Amino acid sequence: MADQALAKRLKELRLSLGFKLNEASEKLGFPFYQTLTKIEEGEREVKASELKKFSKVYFQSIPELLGLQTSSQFSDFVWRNPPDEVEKKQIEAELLDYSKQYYKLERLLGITTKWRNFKIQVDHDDVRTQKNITELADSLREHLTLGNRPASVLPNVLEQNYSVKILFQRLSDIGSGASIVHPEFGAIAVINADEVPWRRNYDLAHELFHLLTWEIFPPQDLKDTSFLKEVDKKADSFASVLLLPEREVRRSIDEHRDEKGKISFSDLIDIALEFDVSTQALIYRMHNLGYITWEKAQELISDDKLLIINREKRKDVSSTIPRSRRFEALAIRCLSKGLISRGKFAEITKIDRCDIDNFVEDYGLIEVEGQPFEIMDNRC
Amino acid sequence: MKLWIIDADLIIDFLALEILDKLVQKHTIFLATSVIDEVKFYRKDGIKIQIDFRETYIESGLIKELEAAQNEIKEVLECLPSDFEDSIHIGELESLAILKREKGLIFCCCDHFAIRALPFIDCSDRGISTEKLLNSCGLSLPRSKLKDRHTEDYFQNNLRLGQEKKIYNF
Repeated sequence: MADQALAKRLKELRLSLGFKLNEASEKLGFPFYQTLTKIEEGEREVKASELKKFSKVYFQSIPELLGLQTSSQFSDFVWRNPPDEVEKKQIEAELLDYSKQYYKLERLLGITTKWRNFKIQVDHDDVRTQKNITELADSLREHLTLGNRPASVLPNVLEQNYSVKILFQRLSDIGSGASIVHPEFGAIAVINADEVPWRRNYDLAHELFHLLTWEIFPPQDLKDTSFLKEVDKKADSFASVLLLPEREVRRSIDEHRDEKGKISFSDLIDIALEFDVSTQALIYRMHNLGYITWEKAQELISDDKLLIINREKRKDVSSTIPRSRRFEALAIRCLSKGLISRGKFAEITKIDRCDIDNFVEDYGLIEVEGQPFEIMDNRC
Repeated sequence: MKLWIIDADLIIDFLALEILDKLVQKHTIFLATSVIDEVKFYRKDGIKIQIDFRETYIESGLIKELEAAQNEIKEVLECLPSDFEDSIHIGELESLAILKREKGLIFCCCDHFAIRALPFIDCSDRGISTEKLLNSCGLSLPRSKLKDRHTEDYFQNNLRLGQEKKIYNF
């Protein structure tokens, strides 16, 4: 017997995602859209295998679809280059679903979101001028103990120490990223997985600025595109200072300069590689530190020869899609502690069922945890 | 001849161990639709091999397909503790729902979570370990070929954990 409440829910979900009947039918694998119409009108029962498809296409868990749980509809992402409305709804639904899975893994393991433990209160005065932003980025780098090459450790520190959920999402040319401080799931930074690694590092630092300033630049204010542009500029400055510490950049430039004080294109790219940032980011930072004029920076960025050498030097970059190591590590912990099933594990990590054992072994782990042993409480 | 319903991981393991064809000759095997959809590859000597499982085993009639409806899935979820809801896959849920409905079936499973769920649908006595299933039909494997999850100990241990959880839950 068809469940009228489920039928209604399925229709509402489709409409909220902006899918037309035929689009949704195609995604769900129904040969005729009339099948979906009958389901939505409560004239046809939904099979378990179809529930699985609805769950995947509408980004809702099975208990949510069946009305056993309520789903969080809160979605207030700040986008760098917002996609069009329909696309935005669908991507945000997918991102929220991912965040929810992430959050549920944390909850299963009894981990609390530590985002609010940042202990850095940012107010308007901290981000008013370039000098203020530089001070903020410098103090945060120190606070997070990011060291001299911050880009290489930033994702790990944010994920492991502050429970920032870094979601790698294939956005192609939609945008570099987005962020949200979700009331339930905590701080989330969305990074375009289609970007090259050094660009992703910069994007993460950029999104970190939005997370830090969430209270003073709330999403409703950033709906004003000119204001968003202004804040994005600040976020870019912050990212540049955070990832390219002045003292270290100066030291590296001094090391690469020849006796006439010049630096080659190749050396310039090497420095950028050393800091795990794009050559463009380094050029802007050099301008910011007074090494080159704005005009020279623009000239360098559009220099064909520099572009060719840059491409050549970075050609070995891995083309694999980045994944959140923390998310995967949490999922493996849940699997080995018997908190999720193997099928659920494969579903949330998006791997094939036959790859589960190899996937877990790649982390240097096995599915079985072994005997637990007692450890002494040495806290005073 | 007995009737078995099996989970996806086990089918994948049986394909890798090349014993599925022998098993279907000896017993009637049933699979839930969502489980069938999960079997796309298996690994043999480290190589990932693609298989059109539906065509090879279902359409050929070697394995029978069963399916559950939304209300049956809901019923199973309502029997499970709330912390199980998000931790179990639809394939396992559908298998459990069919097990609940079809009284003549026995569930052979190597997933700790699905085993732990059996007491909650009052089917503890209708689950069996891989090791026991294979022994019962003369397809016993050497211990070295069995994974931890296939063993009788693993099955019994998880069944006990499920039974304990059921007692503490209520």
